[in-house]
Amino acid sequence: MGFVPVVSKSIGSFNSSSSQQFKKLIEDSWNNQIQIHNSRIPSKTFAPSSMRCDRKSWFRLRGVEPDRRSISDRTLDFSATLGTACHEFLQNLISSTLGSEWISVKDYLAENPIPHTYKLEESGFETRVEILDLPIRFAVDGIIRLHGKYYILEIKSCDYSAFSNLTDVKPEHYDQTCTYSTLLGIENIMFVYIDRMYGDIKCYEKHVDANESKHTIDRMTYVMKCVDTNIAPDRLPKGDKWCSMCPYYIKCNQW
Amino acid sequence: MKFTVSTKPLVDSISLGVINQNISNFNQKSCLAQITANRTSLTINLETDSVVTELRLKGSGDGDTENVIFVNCATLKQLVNTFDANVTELEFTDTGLILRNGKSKFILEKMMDIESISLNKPKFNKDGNSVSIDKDSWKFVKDHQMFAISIAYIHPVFTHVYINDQGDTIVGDFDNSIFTHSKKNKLPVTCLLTDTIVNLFNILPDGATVLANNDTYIVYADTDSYEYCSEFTPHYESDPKYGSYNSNMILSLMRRSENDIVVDKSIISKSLIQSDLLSNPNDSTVDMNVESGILSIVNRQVNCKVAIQGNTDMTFSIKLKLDQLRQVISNLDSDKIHINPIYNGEDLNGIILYTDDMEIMIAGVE
Repeated sequence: MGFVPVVSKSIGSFNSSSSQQFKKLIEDSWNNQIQIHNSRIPSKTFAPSSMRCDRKSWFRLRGVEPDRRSISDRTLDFSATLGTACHEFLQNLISSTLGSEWISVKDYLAENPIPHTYKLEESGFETRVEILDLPIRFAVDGIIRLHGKYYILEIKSCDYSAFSNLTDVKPEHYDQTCTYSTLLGIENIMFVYIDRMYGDIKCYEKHVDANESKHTIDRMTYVMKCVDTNIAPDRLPKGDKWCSMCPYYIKCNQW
Repeated sequence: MKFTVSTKPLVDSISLGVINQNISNFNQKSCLAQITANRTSLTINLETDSVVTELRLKGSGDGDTENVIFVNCATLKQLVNTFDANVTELEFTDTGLILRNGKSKFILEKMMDIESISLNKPKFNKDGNSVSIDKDSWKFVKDHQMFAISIAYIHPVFTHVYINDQGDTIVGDFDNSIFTHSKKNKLPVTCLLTDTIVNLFNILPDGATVLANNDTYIVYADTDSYEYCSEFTPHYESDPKYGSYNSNMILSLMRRSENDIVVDKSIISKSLIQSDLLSNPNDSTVDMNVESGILSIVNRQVNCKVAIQGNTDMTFSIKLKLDQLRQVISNLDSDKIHINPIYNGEDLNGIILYTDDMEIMIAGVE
């Protein structure tokens, strides 16, 4: 028989052998689910949420398998699950409040043609748009009309401390919505931030100008050229907070 | 032709492939890097006495024809290691290789015409019964055993690491009467490895494998940024130039015992430092006396006492080289060190010091 060190976090998290085993069963199942999710090879398309890092887009476009991670980050996964719930809550609330001013992506594109061929796939409040002449797929949180102007609705959920300090849109969120704006031809964006803990809300309006749209297309073209030439584009500056969570962290350091 | 490649994979792969110790002016090929480029890939071939290597990198060339050039591999390695821009362009010309990095340009002169020489290539074989290279085990060998390798060529066999298919890994020096042993080898082979191969095993990328191919071994590593393949030929005891490592005799001396003594590494280390401080340059030996549960390190100026655990009834006395003993203690991998005397009949010949993972045998001095 051996002794193991006490983990203070575990004290009081179960009160019997059965409850300990049941806790382990749940945690193992969750970890397994995360591992399966993390080991999926992402589609060879740009992800607007990754547009901030050209290197990450480059790995995706090349179909590179993400790093194998031995530890499942349940905290991160739980935040994402709560985030999805927050999205659905707000989409439901806003769409029922705005009524006919909540615009379906299909109707918007029928009235406002874009210079790309595309495919649409509707699912709940969101519509997946697949641009056929560029390697990109995305689903905006919604399109709304306020005072006669179209807006892309972008919902972001964050924890209490990040929410409290928020006074404007986070730059990485703006990069993501620039892509939607550029491809859908909607220059106005309405950001809705929600505190995941207490449900407080902050709203910020942004406008994407022609230069920013051109820059977005130029970046995509640059990354696609890097894929063709097998040259790794620049990474984010060393120590960027994004890197520690990146699924390509180890592989990125090889380039 | 111009070929563009990301700098880091170029630097990393060349650092792995060009082993400075293997470059010799007596072997012209060992000084060369054969660089071949086509529209999509850059291949670098290297050849030394015992290692043949091929590196493959992806990139982009501006021509359809294959271009080949020979340059000095050591200079190439040193040069690319200084590059700091992310992208490097290699331009193949009739007289040399032009490398551009950032705004700088460098010309490496051509060393040979492709008609006059060609380098052997490894059998780029990813299949077969390959074995993963356990970097942790080879790191252990490097960190805890390689200090004992012979650097004198009086007995060239001991300038090698001995491994066998039972996992035994022996590094030692017959002339200095020191041998280290662990069970870290996982390669199913009995042969002699040079220190450059052990170093190579230590720096290979994760996931590298080794595959037996008759008398040679093919090491293969595939990263996202480059492919590495080398074929090395280990030495064998059957070669009269090397002869027997006498592994059976060495292994028979590596005797562990239930009745050993145990000392704290930190305490005995401190005693040895104190002894070294006051040692006489003309007499660099110490006596290790064990009696009544006390281990004493004694010379003319010092008498340090270390409490022992384990068999406190044990008694022996042996004269040892102070430097060697210090080196041995510092290379053992545990805080607790077991010590056992080695007798040949009535005569005390040496001691064996050991931990859970390794043993070191040193002989006494007259």
